[in-house]
Amino acid sequence: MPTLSRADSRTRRVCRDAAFLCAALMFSYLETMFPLSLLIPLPGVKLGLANVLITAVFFWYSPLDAGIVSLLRVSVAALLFGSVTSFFFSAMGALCAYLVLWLCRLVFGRFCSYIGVSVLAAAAHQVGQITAAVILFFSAAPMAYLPVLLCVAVVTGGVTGFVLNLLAPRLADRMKRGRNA
Amino acid sequence: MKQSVQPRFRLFDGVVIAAVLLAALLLFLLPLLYGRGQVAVVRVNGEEAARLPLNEDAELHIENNGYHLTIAVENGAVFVREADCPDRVCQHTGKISKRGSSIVCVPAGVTVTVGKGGENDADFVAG
Repeated sequence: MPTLSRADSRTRRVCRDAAFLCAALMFSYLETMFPLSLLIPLPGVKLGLANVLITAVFFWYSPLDAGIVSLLRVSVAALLFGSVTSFFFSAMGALCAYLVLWLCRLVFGRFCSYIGVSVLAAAAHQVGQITAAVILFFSAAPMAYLPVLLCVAVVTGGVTGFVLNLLAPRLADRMKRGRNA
Repeated sequence: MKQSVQPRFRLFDGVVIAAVLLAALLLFLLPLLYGRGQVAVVRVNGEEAARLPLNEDAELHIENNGYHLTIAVENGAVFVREADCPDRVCQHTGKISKRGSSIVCVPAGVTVTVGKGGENDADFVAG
């Protein structure tokens, strides 16, 4: 295998992150075609397909790159489909979920599968969004929705975790190898 | 490098799910411990806009962020009678009367919180 210069590997990294970002945005768009919010009429209820990708990048590629992709995804999605308010909501959610992913990587990861990781991250995402609402409204009123959103998080996190469990044996090693190339 | 997260369901996954559901249950039960409230505090963009006593029927129209809400008090409960926001979560929330329970309309930036009455309970919310 030919060795790559530092500039080369940096370029590769930028390209890979861009590809991850595109895939994440595609998932975000796909989600709008299956509006889960019709089933449960609450804002912020989403399947979280993009989180499959973010979590995969986090565990199998690089945590830092996952953070960058997540931040860019939230920003671009807000520019494309949302508003300043929706950016604030998603950004708080994404930040909390990202912190929980770190917690899982450092502490809990040893004890559970991607289902546990995803459920915890989804719950953190909802807590982050509610926190954003609490800050925005200067009132603790939005916290009344937390119980419902946490139950939703168990379902959506469970689904994304299940997908990740299926993907892990097929994709994890490949992505890890790609990291060093 | 060894894979730290195992890709198959383990006991701890169940523990995580149970913990999240338990947290949801506790948060759901908490407001039920409080009794009926006496006043509905209506806030627009975080600032108090009106206080409606729950013991007398009333109706209040609010316009904010380009949306219109009709908040009504009937038989000791407050609810959003009409709304033209996209998802109308506020309308679907229905009637509330317990202390600490609330209605939120995100698009219009309006919250309705039931308080105990008196002066300094505006920030008191359980949930």
